[in-house]
Amino acid sequence: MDFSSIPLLTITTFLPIVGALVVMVLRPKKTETAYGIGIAITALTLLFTILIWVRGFGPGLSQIEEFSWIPSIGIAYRLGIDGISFPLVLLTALLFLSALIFSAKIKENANIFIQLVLMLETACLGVFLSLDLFLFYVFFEITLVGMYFVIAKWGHEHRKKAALTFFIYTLVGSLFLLLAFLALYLFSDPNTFDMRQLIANPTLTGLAATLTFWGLFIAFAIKTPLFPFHTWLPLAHTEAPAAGSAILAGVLLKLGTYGFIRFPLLMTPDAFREFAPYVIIIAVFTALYGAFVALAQTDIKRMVAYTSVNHMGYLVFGVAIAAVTTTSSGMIALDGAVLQMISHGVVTGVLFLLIGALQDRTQTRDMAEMNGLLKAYPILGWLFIVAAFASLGLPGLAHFPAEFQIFLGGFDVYPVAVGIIIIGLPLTAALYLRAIQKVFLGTLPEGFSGVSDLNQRELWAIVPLIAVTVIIGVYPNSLLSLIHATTNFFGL
Amino acid sequence: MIALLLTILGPLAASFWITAIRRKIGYAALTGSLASLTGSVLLFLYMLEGQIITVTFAGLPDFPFRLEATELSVVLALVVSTVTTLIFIYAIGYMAEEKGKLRFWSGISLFLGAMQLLVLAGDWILFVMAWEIIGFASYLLIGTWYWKKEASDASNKAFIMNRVADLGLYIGVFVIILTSGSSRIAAEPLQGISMAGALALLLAVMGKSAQVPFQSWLSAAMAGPTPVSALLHSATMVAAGIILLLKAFPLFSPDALIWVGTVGGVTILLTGATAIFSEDIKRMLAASTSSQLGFMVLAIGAGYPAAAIAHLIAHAFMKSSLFLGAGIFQHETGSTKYGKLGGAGKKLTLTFSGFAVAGLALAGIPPLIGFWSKDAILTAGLRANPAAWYFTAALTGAFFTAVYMGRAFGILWKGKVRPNKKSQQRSLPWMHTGLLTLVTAVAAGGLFLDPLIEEAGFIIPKETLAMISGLVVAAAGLVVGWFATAPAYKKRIWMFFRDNYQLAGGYNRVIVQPMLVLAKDFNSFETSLLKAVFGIGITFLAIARWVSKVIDRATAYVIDWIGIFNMNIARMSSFTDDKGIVEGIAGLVDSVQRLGHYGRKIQSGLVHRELAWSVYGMVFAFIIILLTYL
Repeated sequence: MDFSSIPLLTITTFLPIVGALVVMVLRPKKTETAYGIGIAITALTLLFTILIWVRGFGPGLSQIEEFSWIPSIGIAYRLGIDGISFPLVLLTALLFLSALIFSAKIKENANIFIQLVLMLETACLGVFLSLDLFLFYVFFEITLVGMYFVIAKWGHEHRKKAALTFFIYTLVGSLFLLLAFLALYLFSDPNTFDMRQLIANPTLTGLAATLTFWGLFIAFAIKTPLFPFHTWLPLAHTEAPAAGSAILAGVLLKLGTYGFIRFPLLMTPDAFREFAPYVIIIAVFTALYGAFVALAQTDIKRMVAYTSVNHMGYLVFGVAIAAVTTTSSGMIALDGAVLQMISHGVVTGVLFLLIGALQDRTQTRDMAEMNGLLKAYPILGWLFIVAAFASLGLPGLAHFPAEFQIFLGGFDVYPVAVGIIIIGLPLTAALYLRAIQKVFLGTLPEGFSGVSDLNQRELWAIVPLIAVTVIIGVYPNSLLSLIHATTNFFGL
Repeated sequence: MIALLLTILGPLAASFWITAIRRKIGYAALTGSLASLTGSVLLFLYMLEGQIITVTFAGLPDFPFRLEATELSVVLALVVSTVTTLIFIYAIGYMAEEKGKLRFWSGISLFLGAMQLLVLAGDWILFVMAWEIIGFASYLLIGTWYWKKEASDASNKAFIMNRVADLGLYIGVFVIILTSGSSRIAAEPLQGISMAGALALLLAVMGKSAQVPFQSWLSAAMAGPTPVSALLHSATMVAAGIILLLKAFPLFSPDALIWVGTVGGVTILLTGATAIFSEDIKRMLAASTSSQLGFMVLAIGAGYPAAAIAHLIAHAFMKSSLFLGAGIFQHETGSTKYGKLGGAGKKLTLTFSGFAVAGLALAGIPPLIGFWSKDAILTAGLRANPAAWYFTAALTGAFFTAVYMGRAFGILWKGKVRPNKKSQQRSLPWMHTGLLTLVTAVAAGGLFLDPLIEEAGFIIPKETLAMISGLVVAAAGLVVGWFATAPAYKKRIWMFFRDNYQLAGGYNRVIVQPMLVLAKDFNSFETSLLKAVFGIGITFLAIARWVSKVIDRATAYVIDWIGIFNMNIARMSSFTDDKGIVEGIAGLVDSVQRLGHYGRKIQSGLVHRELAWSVYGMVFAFIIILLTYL
């Protein structure tokens, strides 16, 4: 069998769930064995995503794998990849591996936890690789279920409430998504669920396009999230276990932003262009709102959760700029937005893991109760400082090239909006510096006796992510060349 | 190309070594800076042969990263690595007696690497990157003694103030890139940038070079170790702002340059006055740095970048010498306050003579290096338009400089010597080596300044009137300062000068508090929003519960009623004595009743059902709202 005919995408997508089945069947008695299987499977999945990269793909959707499923209404099993989805697939594979390594301390119902996480990984990969509305929707819904149980079962004190809020909220979004998908299907000619067809010739016009656009907008605005649909986020992020928060912020939020690019931008471009000014206003407000609210937090995890709102504001701003203009500025902004997904995934993922490690040691997330911890946990502290500076957009680390491009592209079209939105930069700087000062700087309380610094397991989970942060920051072209080829191909 | 990479990567590699290996850290850092020095010397030699080295590598799509060793940047790189290497030598001695070595050495090496990257950047994006990394490194360095509240506050202040001003750099660079379609830093650009773009860049300069009103972070930054101050205040950090102006100078329109000149002039005067009224040697030097950088900004505003470059180089040597000297006094007396430093100069005569040479140079006494550069700036002021403003500001500033230096000499020399103990400092040789080499450069540098600037592609402006007037104010100022040593400045107005013009409460009131207040307001709004959302959720849940109860009862009632009705029919039918019909109907009743049970189960108050109902209800309401508004 030659290399090009192996269904790599399918294997990558379903490998984790096969792993979940293995765990289910074997029911390992020792948690170490169970985690061993889980980590091996996620590592293998990462390897397969790299094989996808090695095999190479064109600027457009390629490496297509297609099987007939429900031919009577044009539903098929269709997978494919391009420069927008591939970085996300890579991010997913990487972050799940890290998250699972980090979680290996969870002993309670470990088997079920691993199965859920693996199922969640398949669902996330499926969302990014699907080229069929129906398939996309199925995967999209499964992510919800997996995350619900992870929060509800292994979360912190208010986990039930958080899980339920998360579930209901995103379910509402899904219903809008379903309606929009039906509209896309019904107005296509010939009727199809094939996303390639829908992208190639977007047929929706008039009121139908408007409604479909807003349906998609609400669905993805809840997932992303944008103000005022973000209210599920702080609770869910804060209450989820560390690995859950990392996945939630790192990957699940990207389902929304990826959706923004794949659906409204490519399938209802005219409607998006028409309403882009509103989207831009919402995005700018979201970015600043997230930053300000984060600044007021005393719970460090909640603070990081709100910075996600800020970063997602930048990201959607970039996508909206791409919708407004077809000049190269739009492309620059979109390149930045796609890269921002990866940067945010890695950086926020690592921040949540670090906070998880911190909380394991201090038993608190309240910044007022911590002081001078840099002395007690130098490695943890310095990694946190690096990750925090990455998150506030320090050049040489992952967020800078993304945000720079978003703002550069945006400045050409809406200079005033950029002038306002970049106020977020000193705000995020202020909030992270404040957190660092409160938690890590200063003097340790008298008679402090804590457990030791980061252990092997935590380092194996965290250090690779920090390394990726640096690589993206120093050599952004590694991903940007892929992304740029695709944005160029779509003529955005 | 190797020389170029050596200049930048040498110190970065050292920084990495120090963080990862943690051995021989001081020497590793010194090796890194020597590598950087070697690289820049090589670049200089290539340049003399007429070779301009450039390296291009992948950056952002359509905007490749670019390093370019132009004449100007090579000269600057050489100055940066020379000054830094000497400071490193001094620091090996200084840090021997201090805590936090690891952070200090890795931070300061990172700092040097980033500074060289900034100097040699050939495109604006790389420039922004270097600019921000310098800010990060300075954050780490100022916070070397992170357990002190003062230090962590100061590092936060420095970073945030710079971050605010950096927004100007972002906007300015966006304007440049979008105007020219390329991110390259061009020596002779085809077109200039708009007024807004120029002012945005000026904002960034004001932040980094501590121009009014951003000057206060610089004196707060004194909370870091003295070598850090020496570095921050001389060839790096604050100099980055001037380098930005030099690189962007060709893009500025004459109208924009007037603003540049105004900022420079105002800073010279205000911060010069602050330096005079300071009661702390390091704070005096900090205020002096702002003022001296004001001279450079002024010269660029006047249209004479050559004068700015000359003063940048001269100031780098002078100010680092002064700080290094001050650091030795500080180790001796345990303080930087004038009150405790009285007479320290008599005890440490070697240090004092070094300090004095550098100070006299700063005041503008020939033949020291500062005389030549100050002369260039005064000439630029004379030739500028309006000369009245530029020249007056520069001349007054020169007088102020002489006054505060004279005052420092007076205090260090005339005070009572604390007799008892002999100097305890063990590491003086390292420190003296660094200091005295720098002072030699200050003393003899005047000879090399002209040719060096010519190599950089500029000619220093000279005028006799400027020279004479400069000399007169320098001499007058030194005399005034020497006799005005009494700390009699307790009046409020002088405090106001001394404390950096805390108008409206300064940084805390203007930046921090509004930010926190807004954050608080947004947060209370957020809290009520969360409450509202949960309120809506709970309301819908309650409605769903109520509806389901009502439906439940209604169906039960209806079903019962149907059942009874059917029973009645059955009873009625019993009259007909037709058994078949009776049984059939009874069966029907039975099945209806079972259906009723099934229906009740749907409405049975299971939480999930109600949730589903409430979700559907909510979506329905949303759609109605949406449709009515569209």
